[in-house]
Amino acid sequence: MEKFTIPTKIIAGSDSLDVLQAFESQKVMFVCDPFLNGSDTLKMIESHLPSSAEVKVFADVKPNPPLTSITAGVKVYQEFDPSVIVTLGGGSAIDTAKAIRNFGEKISGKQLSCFVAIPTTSGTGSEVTNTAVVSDEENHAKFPIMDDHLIPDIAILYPQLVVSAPASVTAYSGMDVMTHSLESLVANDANLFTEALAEKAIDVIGNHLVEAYRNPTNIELRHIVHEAATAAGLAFNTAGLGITHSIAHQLGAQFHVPHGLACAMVLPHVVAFNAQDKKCEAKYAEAARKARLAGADSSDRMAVRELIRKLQAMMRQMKCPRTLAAFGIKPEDAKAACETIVKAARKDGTFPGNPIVPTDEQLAEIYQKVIE
Amino acid sequence: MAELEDQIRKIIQDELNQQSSGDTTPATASSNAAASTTATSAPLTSGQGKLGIFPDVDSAIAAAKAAEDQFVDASIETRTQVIDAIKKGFKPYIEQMAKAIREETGMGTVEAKIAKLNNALYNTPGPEILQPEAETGDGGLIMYEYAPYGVIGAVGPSTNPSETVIANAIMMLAGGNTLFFGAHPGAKNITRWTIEKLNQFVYDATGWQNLVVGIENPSIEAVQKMMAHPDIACLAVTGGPAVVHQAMTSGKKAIGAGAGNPPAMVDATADIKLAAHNIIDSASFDNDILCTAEKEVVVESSVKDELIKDMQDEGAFLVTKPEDIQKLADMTIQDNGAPDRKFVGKDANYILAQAGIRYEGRPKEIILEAAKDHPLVMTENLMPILPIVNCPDFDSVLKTAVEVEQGFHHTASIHSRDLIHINKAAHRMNTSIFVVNGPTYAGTGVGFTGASALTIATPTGEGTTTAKSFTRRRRLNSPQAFSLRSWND
Ligand SMILES: NC(=O)c1ccc[n+]([C@@H]2O[C@H](COP(=O)([O-])OP(=O)(O)OC[C@H]3O[C@@H](n4cnc5c(N)ncnc54)[C@H](O)[C@@H]3O)[C@@H](O)[C@H]2O)c1
Ligand SMILES: [Fe+2]
Repeated sequence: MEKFTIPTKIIAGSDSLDVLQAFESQKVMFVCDPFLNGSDTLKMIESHLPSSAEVKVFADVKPNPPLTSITAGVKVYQEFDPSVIVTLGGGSAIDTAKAIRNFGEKISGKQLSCFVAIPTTSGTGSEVTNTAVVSDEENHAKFPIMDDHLIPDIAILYPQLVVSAPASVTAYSGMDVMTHSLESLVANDANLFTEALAEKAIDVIGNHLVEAYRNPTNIELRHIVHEAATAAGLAFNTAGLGITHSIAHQLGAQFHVPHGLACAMVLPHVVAFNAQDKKCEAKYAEAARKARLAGADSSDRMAVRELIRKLQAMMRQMKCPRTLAAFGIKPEDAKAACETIVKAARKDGTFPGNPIVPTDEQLAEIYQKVIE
Repeated sequence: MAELEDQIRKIIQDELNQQSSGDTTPATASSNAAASTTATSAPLTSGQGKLGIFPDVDSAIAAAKAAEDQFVDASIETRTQVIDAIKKGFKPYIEQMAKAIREETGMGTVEAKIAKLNNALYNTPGPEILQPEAETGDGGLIMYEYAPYGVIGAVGPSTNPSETVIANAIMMLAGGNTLFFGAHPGAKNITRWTIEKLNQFVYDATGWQNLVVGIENPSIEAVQKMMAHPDIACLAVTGGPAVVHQAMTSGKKAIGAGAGNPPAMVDATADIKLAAHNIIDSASFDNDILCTAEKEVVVESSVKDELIKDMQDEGAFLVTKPEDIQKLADMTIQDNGAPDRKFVGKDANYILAQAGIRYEGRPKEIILEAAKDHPLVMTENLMPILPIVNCPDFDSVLKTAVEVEQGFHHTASIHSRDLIHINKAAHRMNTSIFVVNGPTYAGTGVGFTGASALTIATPTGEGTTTAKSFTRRRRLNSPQAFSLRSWND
């Protein structure tokens, strides 16, 4: 059975924050990115809540959310007993909030009445997905919790919030969007609806991300890139992802590579790998041609080559290190971790989405390409 | 808190067990795995190099080769963007660079260097001149295109350090090549600075790295090593006879820019005032260190005195005493026949003072009369000393000019109103640059006089090089199609 639903109400535009006015007399727990803690932006957003609402802010959010900070959040959740969670920040903040909800609800046995996500990066799509990626630092592990119940009820896309993102965050989170698009495009559960969203996101990111990176205050560019991020999130929430993410999660766990950067490093090699399959190759090629990232009359093979070159060019233009060595990881260390990474990647929740099942050797080969 | 965490861990276990069908352990990495502490990215550091500068020849060439492997596939638009970044980036630094070159090399003048830098930056054509050629007809389509060599090994002179890096980079990158630049040890700091800045500008604007590379401690040995390196596809060498010879015998395609000794001929029909102006202006430009600059004047005797007088009016200082002339020659030319670096590119007044010759004011150029075989005539002395050779008639002017140019095929000029004289001289001199009634620096593009020419390939024949000189001509034949003029069913 094919299925495609968008459980999240997506609200965009300069008056989108007004939806918060509906929370009369609710207990609202804010899970917010530390960069917003105590800021005027947070005050501005809080001011959209009715005065009858009771507010508690939790801002102990860390990139690649670790269990320790999630645990601290669950503690606040238990004490405050919220009816609504509003999460505001990058993918890490949203995932932290989702994880807090997951454990909080299970432990307290009570359900939230509403979960609102307001992303401040254009990347993870976490505002519309069922996934929260958490890290267990004690065990150098990073894994996704996937549960449709975790899909936010409301996503507010307010691109002004993205303007302050540092250039590297724009670059990395944008490449994360590209990865979501290209992985979901060929993933096992892809269908016409997810492909349509993915193709559009490929077009927007391929043609406008670098521009947005160079003109960070251009709201129009920020706006379309922000919506593309959500579109790609919708696509992969149904279609699934693939081994770029399986490997990228390990690079985050082992070497603290920011998620989007890890995806960007691995993605070109996975596209090349998956393109061995003629059907995948045709899908990549078609998307690349539609987005004008490849010549309109190029063969499938040429179009995929051009797509890969485009990915590499975008990384160059946005100063993304293309290997672990360029990122600062000693090749000896990276090589030593190979077996661990291959094993963990195979068990990653995103692994089953990949259209071709790679052997351990093939996974290792892909990983080795990003070492130096 | 610990209890809460245990509770959470238990939920995770349960969930993961549900998710991964059958497989029970979570995706846990063995805890002794090499997990390094968070490292920040280090852009512009690749391999062992930084901003295009590497500790040794091998790593520098490896980086340029890696860059070339991608650059060869890049769009023409990319090449244009790279070149635009160079042009834009250096703009605010021109005066600072001119001063730094003067400071480090001790040669020439700041104003001339500003003019030369502007010339290199804004007067060097890019990919637009690499238009393909096509023929069509009954044999279908025959097309020629200009393709890159690969990594070019360039060697620059101390007299034009940054200018050569910039002009070579623009020309070679326009052709789709990358380059290793071997700096002259006498200008290594400014050369390195130029390469580093260039890398920064290109990287900031386009993300490309190591399109132009160099090494930390340039040396003759490093240049020799570079010439023998298998990944260097082509050599572009500016310098003395030894290094040019080495390049030409390397077994690789070589573009050699050798020495010259440009004569300026003045015949009896010339506009003497204009000739005097052009010759002094051009010879004193950057204190005569341009390889194209007039190094001697050959004049028809009927106008000699008038020319000398007009040259004095233009700021030249005439040395007349034979013992003074002898002193100048002894002081500036070493026993091995080469000019003494101590005086190369120095101001005329410094040279006069060092020779103990009394002078007044601030002469631009030292002039003197000498026989055609005088060492000051026959040496490419690269300093503001301009000997004047007197000849009875035009035929002997031309014959003498050919003799003193010594077959370098470099540069010569004539000041004349006689078309026959001009044409005959242009033909007989057989130089790469020939200037008629103008300053010879016109041949290098200074003053809106054609494309910049800093690397003048004299022995190898490319002449004033352009992007095209650093490309291979490739041919494509397609006999079945295309010709729009005929069709054979
Ligand atoms: N749930 C999903 O479906 C999903 C999908 C992909 C990735 N992820 C996860 O998301 C996380 C990465 O999220 P991310 O790429 O958004 O990065 P992030 O949330 O870690 O943010 C990166 C940095 O930028 C700062 N920041 C964020 N927005 C800002 C703004 N507008 N102005 C100034 N600073 C700002 C943050 O404080 C942080 O320091 C990873 O943990 C990854 O695994 C989740
Ligand atoms: Fe992702």
